[in-house]
Amino acid sequence: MLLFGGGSRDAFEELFARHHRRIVNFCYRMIGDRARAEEAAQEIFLRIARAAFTYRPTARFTTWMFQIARRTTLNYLRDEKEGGEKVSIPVGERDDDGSQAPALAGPAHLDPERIAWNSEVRGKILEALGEIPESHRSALVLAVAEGLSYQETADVLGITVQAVKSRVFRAREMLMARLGGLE
Amino acid sequence: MDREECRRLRESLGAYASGQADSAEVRAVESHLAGCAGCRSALAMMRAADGALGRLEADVPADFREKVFARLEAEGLLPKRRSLFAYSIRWAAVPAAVAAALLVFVLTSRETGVGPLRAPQTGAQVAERGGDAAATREAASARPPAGGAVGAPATAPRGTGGEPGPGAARVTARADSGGDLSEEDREIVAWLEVLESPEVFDPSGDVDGVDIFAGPDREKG
Repeated sequence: MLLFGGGSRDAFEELFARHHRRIVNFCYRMIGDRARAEEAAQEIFLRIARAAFTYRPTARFTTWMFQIARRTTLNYLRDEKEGGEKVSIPVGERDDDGSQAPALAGPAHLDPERIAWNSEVRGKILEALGEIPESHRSALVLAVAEGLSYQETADVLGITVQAVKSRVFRAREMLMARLGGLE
Repeated sequence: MDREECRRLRESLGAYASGQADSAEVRAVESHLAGCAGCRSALAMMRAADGALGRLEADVPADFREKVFARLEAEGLLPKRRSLFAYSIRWAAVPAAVAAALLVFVLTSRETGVGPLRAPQTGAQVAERGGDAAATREAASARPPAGGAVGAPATAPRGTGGEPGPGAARVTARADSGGDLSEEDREIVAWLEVLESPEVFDPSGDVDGVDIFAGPDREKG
């Protein structure tokens, strides 16, 4: 990245080759629409190129890259939303008084290997993911799908590690609740 | 099953499912899982959901790279590629500059009469091929008609009197034949043509003064 900031085209080619697939997948999981995900991914690389001179080696490149990616997809999602977050967190799952066990609904065994992975199933999962608030969806996608550590996810989102744990847990709950019936 | 403990460990269970639990969490969760079927089931569901999420991938369009780089080029965001040619030019600059300076020196020194090396060497090269330095000088000294430089040697050599040496005829013959002279020879002969004051290469009129540049088979006139 420093080489690119200093004017090396080959460095950018290398960056692109290493990370373009991750960026496209991140956008797809966050936005849920292939065409808009591709647009967002293109925009992310342009922003990376424009911001190259601001990159400082104190941050991991992937942290910086996903910060740009998250802000870009957030802008795309805000553009399509009519207002407010799409789905609020269900009241019953928000309490902290200790009176409830983990409210993980859904099939007892949701085994991707047992499910016929087709466009319908993919569509249902995308839809379920899209109904999770962006703040929780991004934590889930970064920490689980993209494989970032909880610490790096916290750095990308600007929150604490504990907050990442909480958001990831709740996002999973919501996803499982909406995937009920897939077997 | 202690529901309080289940609730307390639920976020750690999630971290455990992601492989992100620290060592203390791992011990606590594994200890709890040993006695809680509900949490074991919850763990299985978490991992299943993670698996489904991981399979949710987009095919990168075949023209994605092309589109990205086209936009980068359009905005002038892409540095130009540094080619090997650019590097070779840079490194060749110094010797090229030296060579250019030498060339200027040689050319200007020729005009001012300084620099005896060039013409005699040139004449010697032709003499080597033609076998007669004197004949060559005769060719050089004569004023050849346009387009026929080596036709001139047929005339009497300057300052030497007498008939043209056999070398002159030889040079003439070889030039006329065309096929025996190499391209380099032709260039040398062409240079000889443009010498308007060939005597500068032999200011003393002493043929022997340039003998050291003559070929081994040079015949003294």
